[in-house]
Amino acid sequence: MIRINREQTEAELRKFVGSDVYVHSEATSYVFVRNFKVRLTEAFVAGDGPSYRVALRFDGHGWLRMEGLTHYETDEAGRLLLAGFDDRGRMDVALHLGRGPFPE
Amino acid sequence: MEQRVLVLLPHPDDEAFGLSATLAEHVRNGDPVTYACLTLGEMGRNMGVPPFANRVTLPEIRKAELEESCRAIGIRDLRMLGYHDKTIEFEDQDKLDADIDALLQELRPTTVYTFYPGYSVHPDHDATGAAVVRTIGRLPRNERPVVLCLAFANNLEQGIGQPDVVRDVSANLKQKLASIQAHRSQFQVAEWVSGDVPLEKAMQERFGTERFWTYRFD
Ligand SMILES: [Zn+2]
Repeated sequence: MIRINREQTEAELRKFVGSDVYVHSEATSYVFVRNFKVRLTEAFVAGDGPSYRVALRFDGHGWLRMEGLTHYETDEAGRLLLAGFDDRGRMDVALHLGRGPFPE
Repeated sequence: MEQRVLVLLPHPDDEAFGLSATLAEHVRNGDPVTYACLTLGEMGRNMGVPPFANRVTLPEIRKAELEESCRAIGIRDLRMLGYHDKTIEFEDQDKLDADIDALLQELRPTTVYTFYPGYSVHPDHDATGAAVVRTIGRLPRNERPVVLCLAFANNLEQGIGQPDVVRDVSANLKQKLASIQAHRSQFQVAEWVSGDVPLEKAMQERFGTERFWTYRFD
């Protein structure tokens, strides 16, 4: 994964706007949700780094907002993977978007 | 001279520590005060001790707390703008600015209180302050109200220096305490009173001064 660049990461996220996406979202120590499917209407990355806030709007009435994201990559399947790591490299949060479901 | 006061803050309770006593002073002087609160703080983490709210009931509870705080201060014109907590920075800027502009046009304030953009820690605070100064900045220079900002970031000193408006608000600590206590899901007043220091003395030391930075448009 590479460090988030606000503009580039936002541009990657926005490639999913207007389509149905499968979302995996987790706060690692507490909760995850896998493969909820939404129609994305807006996507934002905010913050001055090194950690960023990401917000998604979906289905005309939904919000997903996460803090603490630091890294991202696009995998060979075209999925966008964002994650937030602490200073010892442990993952705190993750937000993944794909056009198909993630493996169960 | 009468001042017309407009307060623009994102969360119920943002008024309590920072400027409730100043607002009580405006009320005492007969200045009309309007408080526009952008959200209901519905994503707040505090639910009371022991918890008496939950994620579902929190908005209604905080709305009632906000109304009680306004009564304590003497504010009779409270507007709740209906934005969602933690999302102000992602809102449509044109819509946000239009809402603020409508208030400016209606109320013609001489003084506006908000957060200093970039120096107010929480993204909602910064985004609210940014929208306020963006919208006021579009007014002709001679129609702009004075913008007094709250700020509490770590990097204040090198960024915006010392506050240029520092008010001794001891005369209005009663209203301030009542405003803070109104937000009972958020603050536990009892926790600040250690040992035998009376509440009034503790209040005076902690909250007897309110500080503002005048926003400079150029
Ligand atoms: Zn706040």
